[in-house]
Formats: sequence, C-alpha cells, structure tokens
Amino acid sequence: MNAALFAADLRLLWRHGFAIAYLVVAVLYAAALSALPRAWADAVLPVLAWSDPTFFCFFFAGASVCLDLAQGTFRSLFASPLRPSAYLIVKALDLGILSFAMAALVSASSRGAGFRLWPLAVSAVAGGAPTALLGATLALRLKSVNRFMMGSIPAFLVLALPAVQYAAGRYLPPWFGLVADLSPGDGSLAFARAAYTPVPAGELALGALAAAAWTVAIARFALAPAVNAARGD
Amino acid sequence: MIRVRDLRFTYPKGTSEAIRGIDFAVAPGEVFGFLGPSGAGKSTTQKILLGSLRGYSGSATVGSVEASGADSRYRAGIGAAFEFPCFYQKLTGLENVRLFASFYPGPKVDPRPLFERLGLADAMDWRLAEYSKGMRMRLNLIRAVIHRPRVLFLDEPTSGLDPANARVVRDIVRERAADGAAVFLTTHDMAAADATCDRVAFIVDGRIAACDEPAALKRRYGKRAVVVDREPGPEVGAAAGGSAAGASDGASDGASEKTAQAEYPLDGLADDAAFIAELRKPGLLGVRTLDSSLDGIFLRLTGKELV
Repeated sequence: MNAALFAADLRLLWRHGFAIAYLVVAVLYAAALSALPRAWADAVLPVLAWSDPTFFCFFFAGASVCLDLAQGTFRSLFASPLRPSAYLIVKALDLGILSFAMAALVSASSRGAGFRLWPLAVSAVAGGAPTALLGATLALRLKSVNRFMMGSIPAFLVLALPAVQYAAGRYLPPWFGLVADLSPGDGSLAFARAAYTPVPAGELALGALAAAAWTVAIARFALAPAVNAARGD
Repeated sequence: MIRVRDLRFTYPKGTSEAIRGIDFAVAPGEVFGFLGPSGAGKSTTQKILLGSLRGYSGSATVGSVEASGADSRYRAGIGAAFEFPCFYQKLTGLENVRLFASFYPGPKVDPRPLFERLGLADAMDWRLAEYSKGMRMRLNLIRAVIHRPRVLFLDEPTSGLDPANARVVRDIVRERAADGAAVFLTTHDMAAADATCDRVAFIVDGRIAACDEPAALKRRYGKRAVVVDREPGPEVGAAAGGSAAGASDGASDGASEKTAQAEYPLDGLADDAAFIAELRKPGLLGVRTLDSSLDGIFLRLTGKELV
C-alpha cells in the first residue's frame, strides 16, 4: 500500500468534488428517509446503503479514470514502477471508504444506533471492489467522460438488477431472480440487508464469494487487457 | 546501459513497420540525442524502451533487461519526461512531484533546491492549473530526476522554454549524465541537441540514417572552409573580390548589401597567402568556419526537414 498515493487520491476526490457529492447525496438520502413512514424507511434503507458502494464506486471510479485520461497522467504512471492494479485498488479503497461513511451516516440518521457497522463495511468492499474495477475498465475503453456516461448505461442496468429483485421480486418471474443473482452487485446487497436484519450465514458467505469471484474476473479478464491497451496508446 | 539491436516494430493496425531494424547503444554517463521529424519512430522507440509497447522483434534492453519483460524493478531505475507534461491539475507542483516520487523505491533528491534552480520556488504550492507550459516543462524535469534514475528518457525537454531556463535544463541533464545516468534525449531541436548530446542519431522513416558525435558529423558532412566577413566599400569590395578569386574554390559565397565575404579552404589555411592578406585589409568584421549545422546535415542525409 502506497500511503502517499492513498492520501493524494483522497485529496483529489475532495478537490474534484467527489467527496462533496457523496455528502450531498447522503443528506438527500437522510432527508428522504426521514419523510417516509418507519416501515417504508426500514425497507428502503438496505437498498440505499447498498447503492452507495455499488453505484458511486462504479461511476466515480470511471469518472476518476476519465480525469486521469483527460489530464494525461496515465503515461507517467505507466512509466513508473507503480502497478496499475495498485493504483486502481487505492482508488476503489478510497471510494469504498467514502461509500461506507455515507451509508453509515444515512443509517444513523434513520435508525440511530439500530444497525450493525461491520456488514455495512463488508457491503462497501463487496459492492465497491467489483463495480469500481468495472467502472475503471469502461472508462479506459471509452476514454472520455461523455462516452463513459453513455456507454456505462447497460452496465448500470445490470448492476441495478438486485435492487429491482429486492423491491419487486415477488411480482417478477423466477428467471429474473436468477439473472439478478448473477449481477456483480448482488453479493453486496446481502451484507447491506444484514446491517439491519438477520441474514442467513450461508447467504452472506455466498455473497462474499460471488463478490470476490466478480472482482477477480473483472480484474483479470476486463481490466488487465484494458490497462495493457491504454499503456500502448 | 541502453542497447538496441535490429529493433523492428509494426503497430497492430499498421500496414508497414514503424521501426525498421535500428541499432544503437547508450553508455552510462552519456547523453544520446535521438533526432528526427514527427512520425520517424522516436516515440515508438522510446515507448518500447519504457516497456509500454511489446510485440517487437530484435532486442531492446535497459540495464541488460529486455524491455518486453519490463516490470516494477525495471521501471524503478528509469526517469521519464514526456513531451507533453501531464500532472494532476488539482494538486500543487510540490504535491505532484512528491506523489510521483512515492512510486519509486529508495532515497529521493530534495525537490526544493530543484524548484529554486528552475525558477519555480514561488510556484511550488500553486496548483498545476496555474502553471504555464514552460513551468510544466520544468516541473516535468524535476519529476523525472527526483529519484536519481540510472536511465533518463527526455522528450523535447527544452520545448517552450526561454533561453535562460533552457540552459538550466541542459545543465541539469549534463549533471545527471556526469553522475552516471544514461540519457536518451528525443528532440527536433538540433541546437539543443548540439549543445547537450555526446552523440546523436538521425532517425527517419524508422531507420537510423547516421549516428555519431555532433562534431564528427559536422566534420564529416560540413564544408571545410572559413569565410572572412568585411565591410563593403570600393576599395574593400575590390579586395574581397580579389581574395575570393584567390580562394581555391574561387567562390565568394555572395556578399550581402552590407557585408563582403570571401571563402578559403580550411586545409593549408595557415600557409594561404591570400587568406593572410585578406586578414590585413581594413574593414575586417570576422572570420567563421563553414561547419554544417545539424539541421543541414539531417536534410542532406535524409532529404527531410525537421518538423
């Protein structure tokens, strides 16, 4: 772990306004939850907590890579001994920490101390790691913020499937649930739910395994070729 | 330190070779200029040596390690300053340098004296968005040398710099070479190359057309003659005409309106009575050699302008 890179990336997230965006959304989430009836708020909270790492890490990792591409800094990074994987892990970690802080803040605003922190932390890792790598991969391939915003829509829809299943699963055909289970963000949702209600250990273990498998697969088969292609640009 | 043998490379979507069998070596302590027009293959060669491009044939090694196997250890000994200096816009100059320095193992140079020497002391804490192009170029050099690399790749390091700062950059490059670094300098700027490099290679269309010390190239391809410049005037003009006729090639290279010129061959100059007589005449402005410039030699060898 490169502490200077970790600190510099956090500084950049702050100076580029990503941290402020997290804070603003957290306040909006908290305000929306406070306006809902208790039962509804409790039902919505796991999805909000899950969406923090899943969607924010995806979009902000992509946007952050687009900024690197726009500033041309990758060429110097690639010429240095820093491994691209270390660079992207630090990005994912910083975004995951912000997501975790945001989810904890929103949870505290709605339930006081009535939630568990560790499942939220695992949810941030399980949701943030694969989606941040996916966002970074798409950004490296699409090369600009505008193209990333358009090109990431299909990936966003796939990432959102577990939320649809969570909200409306009982009204949807069984195959939809199977497809949603295959989404890279599905493992994270189990842990987000576990922060507020008991979830079977087997389901959590499966969720952690799925998140780890997705992270490794995206890193190996999508991100690594994208990095190699960007290296030669 | 750097050794390239029969290097060939074709881009995946290319129809012809970008590099067509080049050979050269750069020793520790040497500044090697790689000169050529845009598209000649300079950047491709540099990318291969930096380990960014693979799939080449032949051999390209830095410190005896093949570039195709470049890893973190390989890159740790290299410093690179690219033509377009790219930094994090929202970080200050010092933050940028410290961040990039953190990627390299081992002790680093204190950046502050370098900031001062390159006229950036006051801008050290400015964000990059406030830096001019020339300031970024200077910061680029600081970033490249901060970890005392054994091999330094510099792409147009004096581009956009005023003469005073260009001189400081050249001095730092020479100092790094004196410290044992092998410097691979890519440029269009023949004057800068002439002033900085121990040897230069002319690359055009993926091939090296010539490779030697600048002075040797000038001797080999330059005109071995001196020109005497003097003030024009009826008496002087007649004298100049007479002496020009006395020159072995019989050619004055065409006096301008304000200056009369006469040319004498360098060989046997000390015994050339006409030349000595020319020096004794009134109105002498100066004597200069007719060395070819590196630009002229490049044009002569390759038929291409350096653009």
